Amino acid sequence: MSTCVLEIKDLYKSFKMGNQVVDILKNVSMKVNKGEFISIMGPSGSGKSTLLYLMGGLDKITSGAIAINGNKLSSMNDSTESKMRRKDVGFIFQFYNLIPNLNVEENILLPVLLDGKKRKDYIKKVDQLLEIVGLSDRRHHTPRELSGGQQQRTSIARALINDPDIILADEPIGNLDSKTGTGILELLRDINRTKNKTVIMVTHSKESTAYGNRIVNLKDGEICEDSSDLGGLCLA
Amino acid sequence: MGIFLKYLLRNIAEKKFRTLLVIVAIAVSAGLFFATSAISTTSKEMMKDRVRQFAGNSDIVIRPNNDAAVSRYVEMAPLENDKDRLEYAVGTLEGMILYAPNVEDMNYIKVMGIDIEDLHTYNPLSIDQERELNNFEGNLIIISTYIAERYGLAVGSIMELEVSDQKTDFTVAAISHQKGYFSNESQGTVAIVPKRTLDKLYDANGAMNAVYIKLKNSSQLAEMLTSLGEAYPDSDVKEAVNQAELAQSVSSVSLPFMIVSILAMFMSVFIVYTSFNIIVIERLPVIGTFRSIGSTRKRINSLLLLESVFLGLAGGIVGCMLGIIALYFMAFVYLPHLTSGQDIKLSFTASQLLYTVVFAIVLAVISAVIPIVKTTRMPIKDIILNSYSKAGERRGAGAVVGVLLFAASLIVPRLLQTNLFSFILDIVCMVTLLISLILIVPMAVRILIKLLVSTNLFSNEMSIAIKNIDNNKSFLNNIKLIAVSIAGIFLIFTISSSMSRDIENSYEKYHGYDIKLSHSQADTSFVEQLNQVSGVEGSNNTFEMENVQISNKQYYLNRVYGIGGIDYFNYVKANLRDDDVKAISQLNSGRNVVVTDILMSKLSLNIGDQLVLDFKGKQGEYTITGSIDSSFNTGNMVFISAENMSNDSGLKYYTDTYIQTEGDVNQVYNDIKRTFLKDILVIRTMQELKDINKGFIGGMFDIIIAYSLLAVLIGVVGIVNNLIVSFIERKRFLGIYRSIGMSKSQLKKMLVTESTFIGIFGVLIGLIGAVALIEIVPFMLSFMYGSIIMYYSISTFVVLTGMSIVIMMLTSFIPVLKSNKLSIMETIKYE
Repeated sequence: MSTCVLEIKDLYKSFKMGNQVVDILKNVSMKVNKGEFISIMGPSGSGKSTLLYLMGGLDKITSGAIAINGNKLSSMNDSTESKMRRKDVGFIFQFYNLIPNLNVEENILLPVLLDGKKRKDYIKKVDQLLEIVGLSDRRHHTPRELSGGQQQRTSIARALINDPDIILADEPIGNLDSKTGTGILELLRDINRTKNKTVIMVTHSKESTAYGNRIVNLKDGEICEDSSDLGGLCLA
Repeated sequence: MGIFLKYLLRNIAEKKFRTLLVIVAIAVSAGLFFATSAISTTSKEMMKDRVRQFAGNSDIVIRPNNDAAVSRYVEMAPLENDKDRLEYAVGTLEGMILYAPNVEDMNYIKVMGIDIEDLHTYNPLSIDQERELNNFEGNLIIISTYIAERYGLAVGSIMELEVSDQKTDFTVAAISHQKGYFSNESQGTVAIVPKRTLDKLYDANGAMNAVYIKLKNSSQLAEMLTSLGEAYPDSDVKEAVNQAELAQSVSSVSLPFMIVSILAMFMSVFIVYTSFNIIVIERLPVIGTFRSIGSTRKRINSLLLLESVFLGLAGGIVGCMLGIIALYFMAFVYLPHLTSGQDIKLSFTASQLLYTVVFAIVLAVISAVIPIVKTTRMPIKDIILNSYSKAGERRGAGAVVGVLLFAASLIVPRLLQTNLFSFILDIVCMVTLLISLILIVPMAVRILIKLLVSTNLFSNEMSIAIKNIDNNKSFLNNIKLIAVSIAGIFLIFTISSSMSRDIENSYEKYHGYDIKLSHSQADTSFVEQLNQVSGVEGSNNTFEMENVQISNKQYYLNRVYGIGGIDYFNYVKANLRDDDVKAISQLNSGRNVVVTDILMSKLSLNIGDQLVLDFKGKQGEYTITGSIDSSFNTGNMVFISAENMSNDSGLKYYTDTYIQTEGDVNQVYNDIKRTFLKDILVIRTMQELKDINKGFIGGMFDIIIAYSLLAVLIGVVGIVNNLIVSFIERKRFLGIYRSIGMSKSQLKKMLVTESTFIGIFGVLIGLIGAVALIEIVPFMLSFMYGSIIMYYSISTFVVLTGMSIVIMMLTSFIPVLKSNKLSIMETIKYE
């Protein structure tokens, strides 16, 4: 039986733009099971990135509920929510979002350091992750000394350091050339398959969806299509 | 052009807070500029007030000629011919009266008889307490707060005064602050009485012995001096205050302000440049976009410069307001507590306000030009993609240049002689040293961070915070600002305390006597009588004259000493070398003069040179036969033989007597007073002289210290400004930290840690700079004040360190508050 790691119910998100209130997400509900690789698609402004950020607790919902591993985000205080971001989810961003003055190793270690853990206890894990993402020889380089693909691999390693259940990726290949992008998608697929991590990825590219096993389509803030409802693609 | 202008205006309107930050930065700098010049003017006015004590605002003074066997009085009638050219001519009657409440407190007071209306015109009073001054007639007297406190007098008190052997009771009608006529009583106390009352006591029948004249057109001064000289052939007609003498006195006050001003200007330019630089660089991608679609470089540059002119104008106007507020705060809140009654009148002019606005505009334009010039050299592609080289990449080269400049600044002053050229070069070295500190900061910070992180003493958040400092330009700018401020402020405190201490110590160092007095007829019989007073161990008598001009050098000496021989130096010490002893012993073997080493350097003199000394009208030519090492009187003095001095100056009696005592000084002091009673004009113990001088110098340095505190306040605004700019600049990174699990409290802790360590790094580097500056300062000061030993104050060091760190922790409060409202999604997605 599959375990639900993330559940969204009747989610609304509105923004105030000038005097007008704009609904970005309307009545969104979905369940995400452990080990799924979901591709969220939709045209620009459909609300896909906003949905991803809300899943990770990076923004506040207007109404409805989001629960990660059964814990509602709305009932969490800042400390619990931050802990959730360190332990339960890992983020991968389009522009990598690495800290420029820290080297690759330090960037990867950031979530555990923020957890109050000792650096030396995680050195082995960093070795393994660098091996997985193929950056063993770039350990002491700063982001400025890396290519886009290498920076994105660093951010993937950072997302995995605390062994979270869910990986949230916001257009992870949006800023990369196609060859490098393919490499990143393959890496995410391997992580999904070998480590049984849940990956939720926002993408514009239809080709990217081939690496996942479920597609959610958003239009005007609403889910217009979810491949899991169609049967075939959803894991049993 | 239109569309880019529209963009600029919209950008200013939309980014109100950033615009405000730039205006605030310009305003504080302009405020500092204004305050510097206004406080400097205020201090100069204080010094002028002291020099103009008796001259008031008059241009010319006429007194009876002492040498002429003619009238002791001056008539007003000869002025009739020039009446139309005079704004006023105030006649006064001046003399000495004795106040002797008891023998111990017996004291001569220099008294001026004047009509109250005339007094208001020529030398206005600054009254502390008064009863009835409108009807200033009869036996009334105006005294200073100094006499009031010394004798426990108040308005209404009765003073029994002796004039022409006649005792009369006077009622204290008013008590004046130590300003104007009362500004300096170190050489003798003064008082004012109604003219008619003094006239009656002296039986002067309406005559006067001083006439103060102010001209309607001061450019006619030379002409009027000649004309009045002819009208008063038997009197001394002189410029009320010699401008050269005044300029020389004022320049001694200007120097400390010049040092502070250099620091202030340095801080100002730095604050504005750093703020403006960030704002202009932030716009670079948009500038690149406009250029890529065909806008010319010239158009964009001129619009950006126009914007900086407007921002400079706004900052300049606000700066003037800030400066005035700061000045009033200092004058009326802070300084009255320090200067114990000595009045401070704020002096600033409309032109200073105008210069401040011009300064602000120039500052803004210069700050804007540098990044604009930088962008013109960049390929448009790099500007659009924001891929130009970032800060810190050339820190190695900067550090090497910095270290070389630092070393050069320390070495060069040691290789120079004491003269005007080296004085200027010493100032250049001080500025270079501050620049070198700025260049060294990035590398020094990197090394400090590596050392700190390697200790493993800090929590993870703290380590991250410390590392964050390394590559952040605003943080590095704040460290530079703190380092420069600390170096400057520590320097100011050290100079102030060292000079005050030096003046205090000079009494221990140079003064080998216990009591100094002036007797009305000090001749050989007085000396014999004095030496018989119980407790008097020995005495030395001199002829002394203040403010004597070396007329062939156009230079004013603080004092000329006519001494009897080498015995004088048992009373007033100096480091005498063998040659000095010989030169002093041979003073009387010709028309010889012995000068000081400082004077030799300052005026480029040599043994054998001729000096023409002008003893207030009578000149004497002397040959330099020696030079002694003494910085007493800031080395601004010469020695000739008593005989030559008496002959040249016309002084019949010794002017000053130095006394060494055995036993209780106060007992001997009282015994001398009892012996000579009213023949003593002034008598002071060494302790009294020490206190009087320390009070005045202390007051002057208090203003400088207060001003440096103002610089601290302005520095704080600069630091807050940089912290906010850096917060805005770093929003995205703070968002990243939050996105990967940093809690709000961890973020706050990180921000506070960053600020604290910025403070610590700034203080550390600043103190190295301060110590280096203090190494240079004695070379520079030696030109003006002679050799001064610098005293490092540990307490100042501890207070400044603590204060800087606390200020940094407190200023982090603003970004901490702003971090509460930080939207993670907005910062990551849209910043």
